[in-house]
Amino acid sequence: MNIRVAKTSTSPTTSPPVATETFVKKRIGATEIAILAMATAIYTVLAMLNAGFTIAGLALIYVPYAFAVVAAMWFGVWGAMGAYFGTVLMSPFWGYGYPIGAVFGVPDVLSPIIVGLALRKLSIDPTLRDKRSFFLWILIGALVAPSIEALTAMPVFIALGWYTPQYAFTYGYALYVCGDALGLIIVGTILMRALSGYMTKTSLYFKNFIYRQVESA
Amino acid sequence: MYSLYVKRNNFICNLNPVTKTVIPFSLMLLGIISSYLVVDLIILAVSVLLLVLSRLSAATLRPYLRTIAFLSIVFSINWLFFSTGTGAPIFVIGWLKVTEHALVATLTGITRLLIFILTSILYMGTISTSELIEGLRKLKVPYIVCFILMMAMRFFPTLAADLNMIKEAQMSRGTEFEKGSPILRAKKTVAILIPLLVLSFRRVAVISYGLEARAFTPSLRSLNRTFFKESPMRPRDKVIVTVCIVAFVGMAIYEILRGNFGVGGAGGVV
Repeated sequence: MNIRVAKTSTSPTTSPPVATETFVKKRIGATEIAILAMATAIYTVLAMLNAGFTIAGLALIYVPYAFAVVAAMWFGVWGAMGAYFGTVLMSPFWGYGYPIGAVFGVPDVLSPIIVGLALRKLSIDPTLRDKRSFFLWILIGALVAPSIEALTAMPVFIALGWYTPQYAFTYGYALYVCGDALGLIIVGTILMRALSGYMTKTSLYFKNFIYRQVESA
Repeated sequence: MYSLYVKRNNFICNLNPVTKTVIPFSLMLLGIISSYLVVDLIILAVSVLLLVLSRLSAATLRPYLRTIAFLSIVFSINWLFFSTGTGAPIFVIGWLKVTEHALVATLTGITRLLIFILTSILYMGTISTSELIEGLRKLKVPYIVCFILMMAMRFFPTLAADLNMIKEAQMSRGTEFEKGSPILRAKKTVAILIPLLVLSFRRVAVISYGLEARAFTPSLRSLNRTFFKESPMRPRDKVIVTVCIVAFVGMAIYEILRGNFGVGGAGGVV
């Protein structure tokens, strides 16, 4: 799907001015699909390995969340969407089954999208070197987004009959937020600091959240 | 790592991919919408019967049985300790009051867990990647979704190989991944994750160039793609699919008329 936006500029030379056109292709192509597939695969593998860090059915440290947020920061919505498909694919290993995985995928993809969008809007430094960027990363990534995610995930646990409402909105909620927050603080921060410099220089980096702009004449 | 599929010659494995997809999904959905423990137990019995017919080895089931046992204990404790105590008490030990409602809810939760895991194993163990995509495509799942799932599944063996290679390289440098607190172990995973991500996304760049060179486009044109090898839909497949659909629709209508739809999990009815 190519959306071509024409940028018209005038020549600075003598009259009459000649209009030249450069096209900024806002495109969704093979790269986006390949990123999404790889993000899905990595999320699934991490979630399968993470099954060892669980307590009371919830992860004490949820590393895949950290990866999904970091992927959203680097690859925009395509990195974040890996969390949805990844949740579907890993669901049997966590005892959910595919249809429940498809429902759980929604809260799982919600928070990386919130973090990715909010932090891009606030134009933080992806390497988290300054205090403002680091503070916003922790505030939105480790507190706000997991809190919203947990609020949307707990009703599913209750509807399935796995958690009582009393457990879900006390210990269950706290464990869910803690798992995501710890994963992001411990693993996500190191990944952002170590790899953002490299990733921003590659052709895979998304400056915008949805479109990877490729300039062509 | 992910694929449990081994080609076998039996009734379940020889079914059409559409049938192989419809059976586990309809069983899972029936388990979700049913609010009766008895119905859940019948669905569980059907799932076990299908697993036996598919002749999956016991070694395949063992790790999942461990997950089932662990989660069953968690759900039991959850209901027995955290339920508000509605219904007639069965026994009281000090402050712990086990009611009929809590017991039924626990059993419903565990039965559903068993249904989900066993039907997932049935699905993963009886369908190959290409059959999975064929089944989903014939069920009108968008091509691009199928393509993403297929590509992700093809990445699993590569990722697993990379993961092992990096882990062994780090272990040879003295990293002990199995030792330490969960926080310390999570920190140690970074030593695996960083090289794994760099390797993986370098591979993405190569794959995307390859796809573009072959004029791949995730547009509407790709909707008319065909399969190199297509499995025929035999009469037995049609009968099984019809039974699954009728059972699901019938159960859904019954639950809606009873007013139980969607809340069956929060307690369950005997």
